Amino acid sequence: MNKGFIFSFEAAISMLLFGLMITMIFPMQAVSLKELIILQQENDLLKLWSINYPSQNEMEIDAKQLFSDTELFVNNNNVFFTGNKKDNSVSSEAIIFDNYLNETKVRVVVYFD
Amino acid sequence: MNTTPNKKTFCAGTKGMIFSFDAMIAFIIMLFMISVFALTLGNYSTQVLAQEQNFFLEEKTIFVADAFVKNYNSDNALLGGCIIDLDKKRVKSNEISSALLNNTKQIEIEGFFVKEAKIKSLDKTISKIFLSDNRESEQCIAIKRFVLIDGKKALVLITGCLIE
Repeated sequence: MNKGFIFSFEAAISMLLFGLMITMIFPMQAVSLKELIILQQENDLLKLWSINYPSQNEMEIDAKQLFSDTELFVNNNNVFFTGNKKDNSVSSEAIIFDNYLNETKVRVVVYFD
Repeated sequence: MNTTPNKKTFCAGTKGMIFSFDAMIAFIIMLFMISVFALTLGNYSTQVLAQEQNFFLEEKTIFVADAFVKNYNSDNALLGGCIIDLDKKRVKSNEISSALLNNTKQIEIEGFFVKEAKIKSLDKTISKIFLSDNRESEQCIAIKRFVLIDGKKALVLITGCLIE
């Protein structure tokens, strides 16, 4: 008769506890909709700029109303940057056509923790 | 003199309790680990519940704020305060009509309510609190959105809270 694998009740409990303790080592990830809020606010800016065609100074004033750490690019040129660059960022881009069908590519980047 | 020795006899058929020092230590360690595990599990479940509540609050406030700046609702401006172009059959999103704001009603969704909704133009000519609720709550969140009100740039602040 061949010897089988012996798995005792104590060993089962120990393994269960060990497994559960390992799962608790990893911290719980915080669930937040912060990225969605930022994305919606960026879209608000782009939507309004597509109606008003503001100057770059006005764009800067508008962006500062909503965000503290932000960067703006117009036609791939950095127009302004306020605050600090942080670990995470959300970026939105739009191509705005004015009344004379002149094309302007605008990109808003918002940094957050 | 005939004496019998006072000796306990070993009986192989009797099952007794084996107690050893190392078994005691192992038992104490085991109990300690179970108590630590129970405590951690309790904290973990509390955190999950708090996060769930926070997520619910955030989600509902975002939805209300987005509905306000993207929809048209003649019955309740809180669910849609935008201008509607009837000729084009199109809602002009992010373009708010101040006339609609007079028709604002409170909404409650499963323990969530809107505590305050206000709009303020950047040139400070328009400043209006179009919804205010006196109920106290410690769990609140405010969402800021950028809109045009009667053609002027403005900020909308919607504050959502959980009913306590």
